[in-house]
Parts: sequence; C-alpha cells; structure tokens
Amino acid sequence: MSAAKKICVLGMFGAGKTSLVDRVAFDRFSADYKTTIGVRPVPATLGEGTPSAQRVVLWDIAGESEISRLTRTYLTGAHAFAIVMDGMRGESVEAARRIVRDCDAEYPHVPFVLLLNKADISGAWDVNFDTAQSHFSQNLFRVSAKDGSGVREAFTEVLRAP
Amino acid sequence: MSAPPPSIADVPMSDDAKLALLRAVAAGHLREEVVALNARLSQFEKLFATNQNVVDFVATALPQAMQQAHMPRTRPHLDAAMGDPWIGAASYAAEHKLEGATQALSPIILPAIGQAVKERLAALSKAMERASPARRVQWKIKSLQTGLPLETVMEQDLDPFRVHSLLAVEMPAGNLLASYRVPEEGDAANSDSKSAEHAEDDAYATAALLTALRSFVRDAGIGAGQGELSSIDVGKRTLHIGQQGSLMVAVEASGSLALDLEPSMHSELFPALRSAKSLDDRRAVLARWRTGATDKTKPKSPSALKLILLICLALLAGLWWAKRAVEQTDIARTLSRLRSAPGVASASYQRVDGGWQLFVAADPLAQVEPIVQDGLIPRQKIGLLVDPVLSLDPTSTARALEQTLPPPVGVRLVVTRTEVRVLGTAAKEYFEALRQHPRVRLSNLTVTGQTSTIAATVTN
Repeated sequence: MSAAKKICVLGMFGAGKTSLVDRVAFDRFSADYKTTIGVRPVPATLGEGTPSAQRVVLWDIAGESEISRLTRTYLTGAHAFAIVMDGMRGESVEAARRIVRDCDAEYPHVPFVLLLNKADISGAWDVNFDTAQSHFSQNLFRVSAKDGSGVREAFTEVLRAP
Repeated sequence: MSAPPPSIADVPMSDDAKLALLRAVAAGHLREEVVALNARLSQFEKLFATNQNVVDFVATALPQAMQQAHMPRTRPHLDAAMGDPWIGAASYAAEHKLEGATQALSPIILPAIGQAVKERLAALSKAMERASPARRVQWKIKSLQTGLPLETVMEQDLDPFRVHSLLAVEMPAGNLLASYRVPEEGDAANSDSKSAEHAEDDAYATAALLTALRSFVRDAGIGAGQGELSSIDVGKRTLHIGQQGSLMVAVEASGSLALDLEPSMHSELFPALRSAKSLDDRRAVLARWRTGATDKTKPKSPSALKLILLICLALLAGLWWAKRAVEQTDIARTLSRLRSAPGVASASYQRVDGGWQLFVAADPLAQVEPIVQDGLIPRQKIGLLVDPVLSLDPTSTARALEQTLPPPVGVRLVVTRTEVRVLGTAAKEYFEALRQHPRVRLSNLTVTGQTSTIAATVTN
C-alpha cells in the first residue's frame, strides 16, 4: 500500500462532515451532534481488501462558509478536498460555492468532490439535486452518513482524479 | 500590560511546599523548568493582551478538540495532557476576562509545580532510602564526577531517557513520511496485524495533529524561539520536534533528557532521511538514529566488575570503620579503669599512626601496666608515658608502707584517710619509723596500735 493521502473535508457547520468521516473510517453513525473545533485528523482505508486499497488521513475541519486563514494552513499539501453540503439547507450549497471558489483560486490542481448529504431523507430536501449540480462542474454525489449510501464511492472517486 | 511578575510569596502554598520549591530551584534541577515557565507566562501575557480570539481558542478549542477527537484508541496520556495546568489556567483567564494573564496563571501553575516538586523530592528521598549502599555510593560518585546535583543524577538513573516512537512528517502538509515505534513490553502478546494497524493509525493521527498544533502555534506567535513549537508534553512523555526545510521529525520520549537531540537530528537524521528512497528505508533510518540517540543519552550503568569493586570497597570501608570503633571503645574502657585505679592521678589518650598513645600521671607503685595489658588492643599498638606523682591515697600509702617498712610477723597495717592502724603488737621503733615515713607525714596521718613493751595504746 502506498503512503497515506491527505483528504480535507470542508463545508458549512452542521453539514455532516464528522458523520461522513466516521462512516468512512469506522463505518458508524451517531445522531449526537458535536461541533468540531479546529481540526480532527482521522486515518482510514479506502477500498479495504482490494488491490487498490489506499490509506488516507481525513482532515475533518471545523465548519466554515468560506476558507479562513486558519483553515488555509490545514489545507496545505492536501491530495484532495471533499466539500459537504446538507440537502436540508439551501445555504450550505451557497457556502460550498464559496469554498469551491476559494479552493479553485488557491489550489487549482487539487481535485475535489461534492457530497450532498442526508440522501436517506431526500424527500424532505430543500435542495434540488439537479439545480445543485448545475452550480458545479465537478462530481456531485448524493450520500447519506446515516445509512452509508454513496459515501465510500464518493471518497474513492476523488482519489481517482488525475 | 504592567502586571507585576508573580511572586512566590503571593502563591497560596504551604510554607513547606514553598521551601521545597525554593530548595529545588536552588539545587538547580528545576531551574530549567522555572525558566521555561517564565517564558511561557510571558508568551501568554503577550498573546492574551493582543488577541482575545486566541484566548478563546486556547481556552476551549484544544481541550474540546482533543475530547471530541473520540478516536478509537485515545491514548491515556492524551487525556492526561488535557489536565495540563496551562490549559486550566487559560480557561480561567478567559472565563474571568482577566487583564493580567500572568496574575491569573501564576496562582494556578506555581502550586502545581510546587506539588510536583514535593512529590518528586519525596519520591527521590524514598528511592534513596530503598537503594542499596553500593547504588547510593555510585550516585554520589557520579554527582561528584559530573558536578550535577545528586537529585539530577538519581533522576537520570531512576528515570532513564527512552525513545518510544519517531515520526517523519512532510511539512506543512502534515503527511506522514515514515514512523518507527519501539517495541515495548506486552507487544509480543499483541503482535497481530490489527495492533500494527492501530499503531499506524496513531502515527498518522499524531502527525496530522502535531502539524495542526504547530501551525496554530506559529500563527499565534506563542512558540519558543522563532515562533516554532519545539516540544509538547503529553502526559509523562514529551514529543521533541525538529524541522529542517519541509521535513519535520517528532521524537516521542520519556525520562530525563541528558542530551540535546537537535544537533544530532540536523547532522545525522535529516540528511539520512532525505537520501532514503522508500518507506522502509526511512523507517530503518529512524530506527538506527533512535538507537544512537538512546545510547548517547542513557546514563552509563556500571559494569559488573565495577559494581563488585564498589561493593568490596564499601565492605572494606565498613570493616575499617568497625575495627576503629571497637578500638575506640576499648581504649576508652582502659582509660576509665586507669582513672579509677589507686595511685593514678590522671589519664588521657591520643590516636597516633597505627595505634594509641596513653598519657598517665601515676604513683610509681600504681598498677598501670596490668590494666593496659588487660585491654583488647595489642600491647604493641599502645604507647605508654607515665608521669610519676606521689599519691597519698590510702591504698598507695599502704602499699608504700608495706614495701618500705614491712610489718613484723603477726602485724597488719590498715590505712584510712586519717590514720594508720597497726593491728597486732609491734616495737616502739616500728611505730616511730611509721610516723617518720614521708607519705604519713605528708598526709598528716595518725599512727595507732599496741607496742610490745608498753601495754598501752600509743598515739601520736
């Protein structure tokens, strides 16, 4: 297995970043909400048991609507970004657009993936998936930290990018 | 900010604790800690004065981030680190919106140090009590040889420097380049692949967390020296950090550090890591350097031969001391017997090379020699100088009278402090001779008894 890659997980507060990281790393979900302060690095393996298994360190970064100076130091050297949105809150899409803009400007060569969380209750979403997709040229995944659907696929996809 | 520097007099500590702290500082082995504390206090002061956001972050973010990390195998020493006094002090300062951060910090940190000092001194004292005589001698010799305080020598011996793990990290990304963990007791029982994976997870998480902390410290300007974090205390262990260009190495170690690792990192470790091609090569470099660093820093333990020699020396010293004590007791006993012997006016002694010299002022008729010979010390080891004096005590007088004026057959002399009593019948001339005897005259003794021609009591 090659050296671990760094994936920074970004997004508005409460979008479900920590839950998604826990789903990838520990395959678990907790309904308890805890705000992340600063950064929480979590090692994990993507594609476990396959020849293409890859060690990653998921940098679960405190929720922000745009990239702050402190967060910028955490992003240095990242191999990929995962930007998380909450399907129940339209403003999280707006926040993601600002984050994408900042990342494009500062880290133009780092691939990223967009994750629209809470797919398990997509019937109650505020956000229209197709409308959201029209905002972004990158891959947008419908995921659920609660039932795990689409999560690993999204994180694996971002590492495939050239 | 014009807060006065913290004074130990203002700190709520017992007098004993303050005294112990001052002694420890004076002894030198806490000097570095106190200097570091002062540096840290001044850093906080500056930080708190300029940036309230940083206060809030330090006070709440780090402990909470650690708590909320809820990693699957949170190490106990990470939990312990959260109890660090400075975290508590920062929380206190933030909560009370104190302007003088130093004033807020000192009552919290100094008693903690005082307590730590007390505990450390008590532990060292206990260790000293329990140590074998040979080990105590060994500590004292090393203290004399190195000029280090005895406490420092003991700490280095009791708590030797040990490297537990090493991390090579790519900065500023925080990506782990290689890690090496020194096998510890119990590892053999848990040598499955899951344990290895857990250890690797810890290394990845530590590398990332360390990078984040280092970035934070640098941005906040609270690091030592050029704004860089050089070490972090994590429970009983310390992460010593060195960086050269984009390469950072963190050494997780415990015990008393006897050597500055920094020069060795720069001259040996960093170049070797840079030239290593693969993950395994880098790991091997870390392992090799760790062995060298440990060898350089660990106090040299005495060889078995040295230990035996030390024990023999201690035994010889003990034997010599015991023999000397026995002789001293014996000579004192001899002296006491001489002083109470009839005809001895005074007696004293002096230790001379290889023996003893007695000085005695005694009547020539006093029995000095038999008393000296009667002791345990061989006679040839005792020099005897007798200063003759005329003794007027009844025993000496009686002895002198019997030698110079032997009583006639059937006659016996009894000498008291006031008289010479002649028991039996003697010639008048004998009585006269007794009365003329110098000791009788000098003592002004009365001579009483029966004469052979006059059947009457004759008294002078």
